[in-house]
Amino acid sequence: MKFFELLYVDKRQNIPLHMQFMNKLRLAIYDYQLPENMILPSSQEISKRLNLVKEDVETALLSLQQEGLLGSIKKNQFIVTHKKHSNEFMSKAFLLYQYIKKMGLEPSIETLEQQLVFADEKLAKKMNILVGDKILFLKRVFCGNKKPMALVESYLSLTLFPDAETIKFTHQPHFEFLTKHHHIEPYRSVRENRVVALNASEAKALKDMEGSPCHQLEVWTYEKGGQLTDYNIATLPSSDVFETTTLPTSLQPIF
Amino acid sequence: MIELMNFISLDLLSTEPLYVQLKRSIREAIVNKQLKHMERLPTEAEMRSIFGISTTVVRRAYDALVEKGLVIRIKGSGTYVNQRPSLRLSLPLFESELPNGVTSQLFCLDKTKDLPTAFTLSGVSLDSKYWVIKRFFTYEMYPIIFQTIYLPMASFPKLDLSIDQSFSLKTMVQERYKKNLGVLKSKYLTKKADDAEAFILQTDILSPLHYVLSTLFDDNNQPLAFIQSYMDGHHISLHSNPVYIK
Repeated sequence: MKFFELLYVDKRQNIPLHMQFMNKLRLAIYDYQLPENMILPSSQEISKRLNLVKEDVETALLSLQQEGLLGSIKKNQFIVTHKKHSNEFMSKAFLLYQYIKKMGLEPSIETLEQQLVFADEKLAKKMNILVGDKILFLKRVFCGNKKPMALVESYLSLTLFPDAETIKFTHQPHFEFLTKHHHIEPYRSVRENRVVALNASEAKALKDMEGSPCHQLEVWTYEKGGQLTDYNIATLPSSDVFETTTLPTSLQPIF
Repeated sequence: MIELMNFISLDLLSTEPLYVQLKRSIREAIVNKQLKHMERLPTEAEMRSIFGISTTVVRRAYDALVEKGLVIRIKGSGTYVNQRPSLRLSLPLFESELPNGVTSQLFCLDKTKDLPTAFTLSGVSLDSKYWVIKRFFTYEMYPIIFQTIYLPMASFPKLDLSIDQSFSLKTMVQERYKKNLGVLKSKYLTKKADDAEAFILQTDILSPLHYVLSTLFDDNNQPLAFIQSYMDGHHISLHSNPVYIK
């Protein structure tokens, strides 16, 4: 069976066998080599075929379940689940913090950096401001149930937000603050999606592997008057998937 | 020249060959747009005097960059940066109207018994045989999308007799096989390029790619076609229309 070929563990390596098993299974799910909803063989069968201790296999499966890569249908029976973002994530605007809540997870924010910066040429172009304008820069990790959901670099324009220097944003989403103190509400957003390889610091922040290919979203948010409130670069973990459904009428003939 | 040196980092103690390090530094500077289109790179002799590396190292690095289309040599003038065109496509991908000048090219028609495991979701019969169509889209000479399409042979008899270079899947399904289209469901994933993908998309092995898995259904919700699409992660961006926050 292909499952066991994929998860072949090598005794000559220094890494403990059950760790090898866990890493390989994780990669196989990330790379979509194992289809969604596939029922895994029982931990007894896995341990027998791969020559592992049954308890170790169980521990590995349970920890992948915690990572959201495996679901459990019955006791000791696991299925492959891919972490997905629904249609809504792509087609409707959302605020990340609220979105995490909506997914039924406990949102939290960890601030890695907060400082005032001067816009360089690239940033000025992106935000449609002047080179040298003051910008509040925030680098934060948004988590759901303490697991990293996105690394977000935000650039907030100080014209809308003059007292930025005095505020500590430690653990609150910035719109909560903007709405409360400045009556600025997010209204419209534009997004652009690329794929990048994670560098070492991004990988560390997302608890992912360096070099992993990840979705990176540039998000521009505007308030009702049309002013740009913030420009963000959100990097998502490599396991993230988006889904869309396209109606036949909107399919382009080129396809 | 001084500016160029900022992003070139060479580690003489590293086991990684110098030309690979040099190539990577320049490639990253091009991808990150630190180097502009048609900016002139130092000559081999200039590089030797700046970094104390041999001209052979520089030549190897430049050769590799030329091969990837990232720089071009102009005879009697020098080596210049060639910024690939970045392309914005709208999301979802298949609703996207491709810009003028994009052409598709079929380069392989084959048969297979196995659908890639990525598609073997519940409801797909595994004993079926499939046509495999491989094609790519180019824009300004660059390959931008590489696609593999799997079509069940039972639903598409004699496909090999009528398919041409620039076929359209939608037109073929509707007009030749008289099937009604249902929805197209897509998953947007990411992937590191393997050697074949890197070769076809003219990028580096392990460079990040958009990887889109789509299943086309008919109006009875039966799968008609399975499509894998690969695009360069840096040069192709997927863009959403403005959306309103509730």
